[in-house]
Amino acid sequence: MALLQISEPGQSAVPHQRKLAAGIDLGTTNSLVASVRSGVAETLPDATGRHILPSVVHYAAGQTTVGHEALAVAVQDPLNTIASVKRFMGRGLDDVVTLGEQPPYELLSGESGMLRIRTVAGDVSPVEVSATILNQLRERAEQTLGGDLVGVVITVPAYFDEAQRHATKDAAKLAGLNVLRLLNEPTAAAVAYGLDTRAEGVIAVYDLGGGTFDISILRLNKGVFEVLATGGDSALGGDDMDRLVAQWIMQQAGIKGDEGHQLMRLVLQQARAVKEMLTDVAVAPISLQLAEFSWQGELTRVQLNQLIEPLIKKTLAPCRRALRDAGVSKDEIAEVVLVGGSTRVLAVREAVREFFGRDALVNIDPDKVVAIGAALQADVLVGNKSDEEMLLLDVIPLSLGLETMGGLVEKIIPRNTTIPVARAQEFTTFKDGQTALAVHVLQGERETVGDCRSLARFELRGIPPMVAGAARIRVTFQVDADGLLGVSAREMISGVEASIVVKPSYGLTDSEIETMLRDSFAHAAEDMQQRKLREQQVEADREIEALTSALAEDGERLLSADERQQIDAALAALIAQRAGSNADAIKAAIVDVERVCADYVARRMNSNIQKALAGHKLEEFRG
Amino acid sequence: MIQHEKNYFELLGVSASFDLDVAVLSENYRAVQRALHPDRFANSSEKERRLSVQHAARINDAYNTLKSPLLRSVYLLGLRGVDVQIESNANMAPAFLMEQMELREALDDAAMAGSTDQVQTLLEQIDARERQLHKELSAGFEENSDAALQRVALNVRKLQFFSKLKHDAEQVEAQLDE
Repeated sequence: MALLQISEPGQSAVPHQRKLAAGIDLGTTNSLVASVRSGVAETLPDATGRHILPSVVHYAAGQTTVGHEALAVAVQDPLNTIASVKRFMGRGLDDVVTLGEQPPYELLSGESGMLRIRTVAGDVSPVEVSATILNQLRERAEQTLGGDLVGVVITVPAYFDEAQRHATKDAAKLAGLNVLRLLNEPTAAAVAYGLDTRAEGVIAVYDLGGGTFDISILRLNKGVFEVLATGGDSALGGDDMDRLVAQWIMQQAGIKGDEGHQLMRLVLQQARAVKEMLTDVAVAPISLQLAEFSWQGELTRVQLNQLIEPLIKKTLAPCRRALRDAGVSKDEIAEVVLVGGSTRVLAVREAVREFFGRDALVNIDPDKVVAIGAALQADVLVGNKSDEEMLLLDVIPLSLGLETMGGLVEKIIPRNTTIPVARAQEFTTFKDGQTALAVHVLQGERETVGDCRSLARFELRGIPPMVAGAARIRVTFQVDADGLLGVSAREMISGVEASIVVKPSYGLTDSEIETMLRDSFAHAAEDMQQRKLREQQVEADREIEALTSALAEDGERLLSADERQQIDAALAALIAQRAGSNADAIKAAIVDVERVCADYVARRMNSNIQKALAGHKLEEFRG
Repeated sequence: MIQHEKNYFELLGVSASFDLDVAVLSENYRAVQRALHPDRFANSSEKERRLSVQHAARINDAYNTLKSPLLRSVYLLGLRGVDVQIESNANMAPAFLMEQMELREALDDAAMAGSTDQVQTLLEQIDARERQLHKELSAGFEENSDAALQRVALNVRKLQFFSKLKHDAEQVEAQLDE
């Protein structure tokens, strides 16, 4: 039995208590959860000792299974076994058809164009399927760590766009997780690798997973991980290799493609199996055995390499582009780190070696490295680490812009800009007396609207009538540390304003999430009122702890006795409300504390900047 | 309460000059981000988190501006009260425009020939011209007379032409890649 901890009299135990946090790698093929325990970040196994959770969900009437159990029934029940759902996150049916995806289950278009999958247990969205996987990982972590998770970091491919990021966040919300940060997968890998080896200099992370490809170039400098550039393809991965091998098998075995979902699923499984085998052997056997069909054959490594060569080539153009964007030449790269299960394929390693002119690092398990990096970041974010720690400076993967006259896109924030970032640009009216302006937000590198992804549209209304070109409309884009965008527009002369948090068309609306939460597994027993109370309690705890430690640090220095008294009173009131069970009262007390502390918070922020620079040599002023 | 009264040079603790030490700039940037980045405030109050995002965004902007010779020059001229007229003033000497046309023709030729080598050669030419202009900028800022600053503004506009050309050349290179 663990010994109970007793804190010193007069000292709160709260700031010293270790908070439970986890990193989650929500992968196309496999998912993992990791956490920092006794100073070491490690992936957490399930009850039977397995670390990897296949990202597969099986739906049956009244029962949903996840992971190995779901994978085991994939061939018997292909239509109700959902795999590789990450490829559909934030996508509409149209996108998926364009991408040439042909999953062995039935897709349909749901409300607001969001893709849904038909199962015997009802239609499900990719967000819900992902939430089911996340929920399983949450339960695993909470059982292993022995308590509720305070927060998690979830990784996403660096090349995920706005819609895909939102979908991931929605899934986490559905699974009852508090997301501290969405972290880019290659950055997570760099963290795990960098902290492990204490490496310095420029590194390249080549991350080829089940369904996505990322390349990131980072500079490591005394615990700061600065992403210089990132590139990739959010629909390119091991799945595509499997599909090419499957097509080859079908050709060899004389399968036309309309022979039923069971056979198709089996072919896909065999395709993946031989691909994996060919890492260790030169020839691998293929065996298709079903009641109505039987075929045997073999595939050689040379044949596999030929089949997948075009895919591997497709990863090299983004590598060149990322190097160009980073302003770094190949020989400045100190180390190449391989991430993702698909980098086990020998031809991939060979291509990377040839491209960068050096052997890549493979001493960290490419399956686990992302989850471990995420766990390290979660530990920092939740506040378990002290002052001298790492810092991640990430970038946006795709340019953000606005539609202008003639269907052209004006870029406001170019790709590979460090986040958080805020940029503004001024526009004007086109016609005399124009009183409204349509703002169309787009993401992508191309010049025309049709070639970029539409993120959101909103209107700025109530502009006073003026002659064309007289109004000055300032549109501001703000991207936060999760890489998520907010846009606002303001007419500078009249002060008319409009703004939105960009919610991509294939995301869920807040009310949809609310409804799902009400029905969902994570909160079946807990009604919305209780949920609200818990949220406020978490927020209150955060506020109390942050303020307490701030006051201890510089309350004396930055506050007058009078100000201090006011703050102490508000804080005491909040602590009192926190002990009760009235969510609204807690919220009011939080608002009150924030109001009383507004000046203090600003002073602290400025004092932080001064302190940060004070420790460093300022460049000498030239005479 | 963002420190709008502080300029980018002050924010990052470097002297307001064209010839700044990029190593010191980067080091100071990282030190300030360490103190301000939203990751530091993941556990703080809503207000602090919002402030941190705003501050960190401004610091990123400052760093992005100061590390680029072109953007740094425009910013520095602004501090000294000179408007570069980067969009409005296209009144360049015929010889300069002729040079630009020739370089653009060379880029078109490279694109037509599908030769990344030719694009590469062109990029090197652009780099050399940019370095030359940087030297002139440095000298002009150093002199700091009205006439010198007007010359700087002209050179900044020239630099802008090269910057656009470079961007287009890199686009061509990227297309040839795919």
